[in-house]
Amino acid sequence: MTRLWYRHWLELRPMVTVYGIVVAIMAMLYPIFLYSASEYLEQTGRLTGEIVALGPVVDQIPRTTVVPWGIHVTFVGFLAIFLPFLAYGSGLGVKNPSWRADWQASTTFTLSLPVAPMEVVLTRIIAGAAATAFLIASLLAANSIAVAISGRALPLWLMTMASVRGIVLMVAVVACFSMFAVVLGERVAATLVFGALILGTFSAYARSWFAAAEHFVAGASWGAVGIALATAVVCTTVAALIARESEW
Amino acid sequence: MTSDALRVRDLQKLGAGIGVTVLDGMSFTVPRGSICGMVGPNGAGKSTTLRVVMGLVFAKGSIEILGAPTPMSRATKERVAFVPETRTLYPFAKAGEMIRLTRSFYPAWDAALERRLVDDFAIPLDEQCKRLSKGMLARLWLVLVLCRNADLLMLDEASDGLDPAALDLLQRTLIQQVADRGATVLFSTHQLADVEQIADRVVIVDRGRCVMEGAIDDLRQRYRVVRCALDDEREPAPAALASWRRDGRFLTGLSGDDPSVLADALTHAGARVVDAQPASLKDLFLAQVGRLA
Repeated sequence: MTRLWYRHWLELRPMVTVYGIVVAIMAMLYPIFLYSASEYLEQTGRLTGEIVALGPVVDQIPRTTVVPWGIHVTFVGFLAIFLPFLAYGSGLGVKNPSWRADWQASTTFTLSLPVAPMEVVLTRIIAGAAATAFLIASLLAANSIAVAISGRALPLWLMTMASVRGIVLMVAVVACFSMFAVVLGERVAATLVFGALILGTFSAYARSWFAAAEHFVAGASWGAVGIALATAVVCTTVAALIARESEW
Repeated sequence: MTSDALRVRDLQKLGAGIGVTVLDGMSFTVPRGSICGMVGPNGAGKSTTLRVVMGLVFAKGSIEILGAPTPMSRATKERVAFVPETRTLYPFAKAGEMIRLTRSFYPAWDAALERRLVDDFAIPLDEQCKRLSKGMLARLWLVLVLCRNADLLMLDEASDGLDPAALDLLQRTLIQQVADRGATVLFSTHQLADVEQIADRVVIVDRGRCVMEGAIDDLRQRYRVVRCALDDEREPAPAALASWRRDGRFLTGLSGDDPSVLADALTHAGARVVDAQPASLKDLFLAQVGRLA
């Protein structure tokens, strides 16, 4: 099984590297946002618009910790739009060559190895989800260190829970997109994912739009988290079962 | 243990278009320890057959690989190596990483052969696959396949993209694997010269079917290219010549019948034998695909 993880690492590595750089830049921006939003709160007694936009859940967070938490949630919500874009995939994607064709690992080579398509798809979706989890966890660690260094109260539990909700959301989206790649073919899946990315980006910047990802990260109920996890499991299972019955 | 490395029986597969048949009862056998060349015109079903055998494409019919039915178990798959026609790998992985990955899947991996082939093929281990030339990718594929110590090697147009030196090394390595370990090789090609150089068996396919198979020497001895003259230009072609070309009163065809039997049959049909020569592999191929020279 370790061998398959290495295979997935070889496939995911370039994208994880690119997004690792993105996360590193966000980790550097976090202290700046933290400082400016905290200053704004101290001087005006009000929260910045980005934090207020997170909804009623903001009122339940103590004022001393709402800024570090709110900015972290905003950052994770931002990543939730982009990270699945890099991490989705079935590991068996050249059936319908797309604009991602040059990025794709050879399906024929993969399936010439002593592995089953179902096994490849299952582990690849898990690997994609793990990559997003790793990047979010890295951002959490970096942001927590930044808060601690700044001398402000660190809402570690709240930030961790927001990160966990973000990871769950992204795992569900990764599994869903990966299922598209198996069921509909890479070309259609890429079109859908690209459309989702554009809409997601727009919703992140146009505050009049409902920034669903940020609201989920900020305060999704356990029920919603459970539904997201169930979605991930169902999509992964469907993708694996269809892979078993598909031609490559 | 069965004496055949591969048995393919009555594969049937329809194509994407209406009425398009990709495989139409494809059946052939490759005995263990043989080197078998699969030849046929473009679109004859060679690549599809190999992909069906590998389980990448589905078809009706039965396949037995190394004595086991398909779909292949993990244990059987560890004993089979396949080089596809389209030779891409993982674009962002380095050549050395591809070798490391492949090595980890095969307990019988031949590390000494790996070192030799990497040197002889001059594989740049630190280069990403996407930066390798077509020829270098083909070489890397061969390293990844030949070092598996597989019992059955299937190569789809493996000579494509190889320069003469690399092709020679490939052929020598294949022969060595057959001689040393009793491996079996099945390769598809458009080049009859490839078959004549290293194969001891041939499978000729056309329109999704195997139209002739057997040991090359046996086929050459058995079949003759016969040129005969008809008494009358308007006489129909004798049924004894299955494949033929007409040039006025003269007919050229291939026959596997005993010469005396053939002569009697032709005489009965109003023809007489002008010339009969042992068939070459090219004659066999052209006759079977209906274009005898």
